Amino acid sequence: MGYKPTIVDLLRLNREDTSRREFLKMVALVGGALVAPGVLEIACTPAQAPTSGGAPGAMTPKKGGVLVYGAEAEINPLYSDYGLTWSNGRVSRHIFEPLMESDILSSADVSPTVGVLAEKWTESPDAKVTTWTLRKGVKFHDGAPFNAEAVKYNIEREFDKSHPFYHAKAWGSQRQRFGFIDKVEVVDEYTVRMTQKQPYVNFVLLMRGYGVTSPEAIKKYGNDELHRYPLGTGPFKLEEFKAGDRVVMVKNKDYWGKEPWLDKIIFRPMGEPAVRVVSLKSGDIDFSVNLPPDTYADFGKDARFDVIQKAYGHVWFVRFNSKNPPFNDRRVRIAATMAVNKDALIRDILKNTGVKAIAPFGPGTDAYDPDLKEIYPYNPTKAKELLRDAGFPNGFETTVYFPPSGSGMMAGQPMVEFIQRNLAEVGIRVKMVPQEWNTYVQKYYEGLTPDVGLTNMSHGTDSGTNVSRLYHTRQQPPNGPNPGWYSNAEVDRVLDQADQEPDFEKRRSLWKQANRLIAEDAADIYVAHDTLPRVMNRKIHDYVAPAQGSFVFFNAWLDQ
Amino acid sequence: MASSSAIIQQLQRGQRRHHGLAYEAWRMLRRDRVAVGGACVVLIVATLVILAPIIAPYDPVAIIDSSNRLAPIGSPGHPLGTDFLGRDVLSRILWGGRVSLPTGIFPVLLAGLVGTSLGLTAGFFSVRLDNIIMRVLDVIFAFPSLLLAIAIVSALGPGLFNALLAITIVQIPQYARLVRSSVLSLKEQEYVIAARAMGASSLRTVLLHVLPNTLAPILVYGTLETGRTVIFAAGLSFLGLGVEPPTPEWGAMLAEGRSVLSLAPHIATVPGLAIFVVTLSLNLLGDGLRDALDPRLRQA
Amino acid sequence: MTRYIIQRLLAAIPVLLGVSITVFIILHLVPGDIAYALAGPNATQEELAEVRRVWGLDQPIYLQYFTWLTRALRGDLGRSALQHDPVFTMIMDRFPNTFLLAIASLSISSIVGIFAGVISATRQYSLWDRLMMLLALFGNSMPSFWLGLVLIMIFALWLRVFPSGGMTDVRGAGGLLDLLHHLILPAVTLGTVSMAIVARLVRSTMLEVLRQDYIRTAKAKGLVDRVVVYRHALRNALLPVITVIGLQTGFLMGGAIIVETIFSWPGLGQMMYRAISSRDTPVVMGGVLLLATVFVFVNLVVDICYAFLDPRIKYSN
Repeated sequence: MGYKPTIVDLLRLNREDTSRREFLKMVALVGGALVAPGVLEIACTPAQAPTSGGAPGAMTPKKGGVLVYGAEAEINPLYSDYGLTWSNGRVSRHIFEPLMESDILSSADVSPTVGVLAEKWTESPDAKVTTWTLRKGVKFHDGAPFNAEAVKYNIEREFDKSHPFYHAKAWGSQRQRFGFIDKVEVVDEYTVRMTQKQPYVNFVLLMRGYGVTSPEAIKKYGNDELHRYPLGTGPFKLEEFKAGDRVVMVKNKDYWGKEPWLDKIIFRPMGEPAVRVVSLKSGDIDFSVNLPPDTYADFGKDARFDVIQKAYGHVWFVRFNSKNPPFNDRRVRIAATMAVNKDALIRDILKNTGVKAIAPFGPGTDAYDPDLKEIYPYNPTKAKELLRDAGFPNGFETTVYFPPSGSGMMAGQPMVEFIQRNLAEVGIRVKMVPQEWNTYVQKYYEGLTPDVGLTNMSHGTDSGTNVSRLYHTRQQPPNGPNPGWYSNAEVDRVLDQADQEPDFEKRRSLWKQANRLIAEDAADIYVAHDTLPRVMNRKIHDYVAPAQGSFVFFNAWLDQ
Repeated sequence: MASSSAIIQQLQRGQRRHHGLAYEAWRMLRRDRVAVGGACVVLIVATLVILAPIIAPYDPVAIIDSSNRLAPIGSPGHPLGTDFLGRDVLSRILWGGRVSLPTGIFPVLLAGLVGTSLGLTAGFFSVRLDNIIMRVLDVIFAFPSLLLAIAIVSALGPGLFNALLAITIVQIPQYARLVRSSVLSLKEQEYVIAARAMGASSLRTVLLHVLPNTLAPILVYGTLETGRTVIFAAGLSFLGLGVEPPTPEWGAMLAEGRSVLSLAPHIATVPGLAIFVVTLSLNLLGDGLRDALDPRLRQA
Repeated sequence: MTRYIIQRLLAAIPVLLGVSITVFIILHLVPGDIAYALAGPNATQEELAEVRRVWGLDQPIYLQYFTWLTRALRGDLGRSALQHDPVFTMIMDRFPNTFLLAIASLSISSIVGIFAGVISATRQYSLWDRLMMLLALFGNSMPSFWLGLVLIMIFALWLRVFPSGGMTDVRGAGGLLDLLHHLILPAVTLGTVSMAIVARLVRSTMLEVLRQDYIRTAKAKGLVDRVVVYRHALRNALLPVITVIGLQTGFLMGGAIIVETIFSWPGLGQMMYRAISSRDTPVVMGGVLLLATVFVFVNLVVDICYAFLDPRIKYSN
């Protein structure tokens, strides 16, 4: 335990040009050597507290206790599709389980894929048929059995208009996942077969984050009331949902897997960062995320707390409206990129709780290209020249939409204000329009109107399928999250090729290629990769920080 | 029926009494050291704020040095420290006043103007008009004012203009009510009856004889209301319904300071103090004006 | 008296109608297609069609109003665009919390305000008087959103004697004491301005009453000061105070939006704040309609109380 990995080390691990399988093996080895059971894994930054927990095995987990979590945004209704936003996903994932996922209980730098409600799955060579073997002896929280029928009932509800509870609203977010699905068949009680209309190599990857709801609950409560009764199969059950105040979860005693240590988890929505800081210090809450970056140094010095950081394939960026003038001109986009002093922003505003981004997909993602160097470094003089060449010698005015805070938004408004100032220095005068997180996300899917040049967002999943989800022309609103109407025939071609490529490694290099093309085309201003700083009271043990925007407290226990 | 010369005498007496009162009030106000102090503070703040482009040490939105953030009060070069982006708090306070003070004053002036006209119209002319105007205003008055303002701004969209509009609308009924009631009592006064009897047009009577006598309560109320409006407008900005960032405004600055309350309390405290001092001074001045202008209301 | 009450009730009807029309007009000030505002930005075509049908958006405007009003009277204010719950249910879930906060701050402001006013009036020009009035002046000039932060800073952050927010200790067993512990800071923040207004008003009306003949008579008769003060003067001085307290209810409702947001108090104000910032139009308008209605009724009750307490009012007019 003498060696403490720094974030740079962990990032370097990612850069090793090994195949994915070898890479995972290596992570498992290194991880095993570094981290013993009962010890918290931390990707430390220099300014940070040491790991808590003492020597391996020194403490045996205790049953019982209540963990209180300070959520950074209002907690919305808990949907089974918990992958929609991280802040809500961290709550919902305790209740709902997917067929398979990137292991949320792994601290590896790329979470390995594991079955949850499915024991195994096979894909046909033509990438059209997926057969899932389901776990036996699983029950939903309302006692209904989990089986092939339940899976069929859930998935058909998302795409089959003749389903009695067809859910039109969900379709928007499920379009990519179920865009080519033809039918779902029950082979036997614990085997279900899904068939696509055309070869769809990414289908299995996209099934991560799709939770299964009790079919009895769907029938009982219908589309209007279901969100009040989230009934899944997870290790925790909803006890109380008091909007604006708390979401209380209790241990599911009938859980099929390892019984959680904690009796209860209470999630409290606390949109005010200052309140979260005060509440951590007063002991009202035990765990929180996304605090003002300036507070981490203070928490790091406090013996009662641990500060945890872990990169997870996240990127914070400002997307251009590349359909409308002036940002339809690549020179203008490059000028804006070169106007932003990312180094100062990360050092001063973020207090190094992030690493500089130079392309949409960074370390920890399938599309990450370790050989890529910063294409458009900070250079305001060059930026002004480019603007002059593009016909804007006196700059121009535009608008940015942004959420002052929200999941994955790091420091939020100060970062946008910083960039706004940088842009003003080269003559791009930006009007700032803040919007509350949940509205913001919804608006994002509507796309930018011609008068809005910029929108600020963050993304963070390791999956390479995200490249086409975010940048393919067909993902323009209202079909997907491409609000800047980004369209590049070359990128589309590469991504289409990737969508047909059954070999994962070849697919990966195509994603990498697209990543570089997008960065060269300056589709966005890439600013930083978040390390999702979390502050945790040291009485919590065995919290696992996965390389994902979501995390859970399945293994956590309290020593008081 | 009095002779015309007597009526004229009475009219003159009425006017003289008016002048006398104003003079008397001015003398009283001058002697009221607390009110004079309040007035001075308001004037000083207003002057500083007007001179902000000249005296502010920095550009209020410029990030002077992003590595020198959250500097405490008394830092070299930044007497009031720097905010979460490294902007000079003193400069932002001075420039912020250019938004915050007018948002306290303009709605009051505008609402005073519209409310007074409506009140005069309602009180002086036909009963029917009175009924229509007052019933409509009663409805506005039936809303808690901040709530109505919030509803209006959230429907129209956030922004300074919409906020000012909303604040003005919700304040109109109070002035109208105030003016109407004093018009109703003035209407029965001899000199007003006399003026009308002499054939002065209604408008002329209102402007020359009724309006001047309603000014005192409006002035008192308006001064006290300006203090409240500064808070009200800052409150809307605090809720994110006022100015857009990065424009400095006291309420918005306070809201920005919330997230670093534990580390740099001065960022929220300085704009809070600014709002407090201005409001307090306006209230002191208003109290003094009330004492001077309306001896009956005087707080013994 | 009964006739007076009936009269006042009848007079409230046009005001309430006016309130509903105003809310309806404001609702239609929303730029763009109102169906989007009502259904939420991510609505599907099916949902938009449903909203248009339910709200009668294809009908002439006055019919839309009647459709909306009849539904509102039945307690149907539409569904939240964000939370998907019926607005009426959401309001009713949170109303008790706001009511509790409002009652607490009204109590604090009336009790402390009256007490301070009495002390000031009975010891006019004393040090106490000056101190009380200075504090009242400060209270009246203090923005509640700043006061709230200052109180959090002092009592939650530095002294750690009160929690920084929430309504109960989520870990604890709850109970009345726990609730009070959480209630004090927000209630004081919300009540300070009213407290200052009440204190100043009580002082001036008391002084006026104390100078009146019957008090002098009572004094001359040899009644002890304290009895004079409390039995005669205070009772008379309280009448205008009741009106002010009624008016302060409206102030409290607006202030609750700010105070509940600062203190994470799960009431209507916090719900409204969130609805405002996320453009959840049905919730904003439903909330405004309900609170304005409550306000009209509170003032009605105050008027009736006033008439009941003050024999000088001729309510058989």
